[in-house]
Amino acid sequence: MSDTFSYFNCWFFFFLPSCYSYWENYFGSISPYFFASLGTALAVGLSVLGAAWGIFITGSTLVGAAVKEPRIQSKNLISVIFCEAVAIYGIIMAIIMQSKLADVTSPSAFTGYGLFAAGLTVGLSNLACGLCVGITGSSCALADAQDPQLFVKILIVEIFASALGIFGIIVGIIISGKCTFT
Amino acid sequence: MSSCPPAASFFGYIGAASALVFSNLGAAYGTAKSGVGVASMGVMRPELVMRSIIPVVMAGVLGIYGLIVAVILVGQIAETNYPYFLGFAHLASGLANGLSGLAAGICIGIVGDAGVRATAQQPKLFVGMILILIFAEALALYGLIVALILSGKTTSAGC
Repeated sequence: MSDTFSYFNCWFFFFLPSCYSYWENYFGSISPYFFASLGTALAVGLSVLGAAWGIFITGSTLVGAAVKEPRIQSKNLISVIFCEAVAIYGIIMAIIMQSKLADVTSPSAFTGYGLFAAGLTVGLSNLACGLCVGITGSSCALADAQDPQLFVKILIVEIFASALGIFGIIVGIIISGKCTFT
Repeated sequence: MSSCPPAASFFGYIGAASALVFSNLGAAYGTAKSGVGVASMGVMRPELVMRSIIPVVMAGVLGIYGLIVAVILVGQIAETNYPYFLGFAHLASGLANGLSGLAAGICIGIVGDAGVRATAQQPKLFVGMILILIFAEALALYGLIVALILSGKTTSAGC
């Protein structure tokens, strides 16, 4: 009666020490290629999502404010370019990560988890950065429409915002450097 | 003495990722919210814009804290001799820094936005706004301290 152990309880009481081996087997049987590939996808997918979000926030404000002040549209395209740079960070990271994907007989879980974390870091950091640059760029366009001398001053705020994407890609490159399947 | 399964590095990496991601989310909120306030009040008082960039700088520092902790953690995650003890310690370190940075960023954003708009109308409020922003920045510093202590945990496990 006591030599068979039911793992049914582990679905509800997953913190029990007797359930560690169950979850280890469950978690450890997922191929590391799942994590590595998902990380690569999230790196570019979430970065592009952030860039798109920022571009539509900035772009819609820009064209709206340019109705009365058409002179602002050429200078304020730089806000749209800052958002696009966020997507470029994502695609650079994804290309670096996909070059690590190699088919071996026993892939190491360490590399899989590392590439997943790198992709998550880059993707979510760029999502936040793209949103921030978009909101700041839209307020820059509105301020420029009222007073031309404000453009350069509010651009300083946008430069602080785009630094967040650089932090993400720095950590992503450091993690990817540690990870190799072969 | 805990064991050294490969899953331990998963939690360590998630700790490093969350350190940077949540701090960046907080820094992004702080930068955007106070940046909109700066642009709005700069229309009326352009000469005060450069002083009002202070909340934006303080929000950017939160991203630096996350970067520091993430780089420290990534340097310590290894394929061998990495037990669950270190894996969960690094997860805790990253979450401590990241969530504190998120909270501090939200705080700096809201206080900075209201502060720069009020300072444009009443210049005597500048010092008060700076004091409140310093208290908000200290919250992220508490998270950084705990994260650095947790990331310094070592073990003599050989497995």
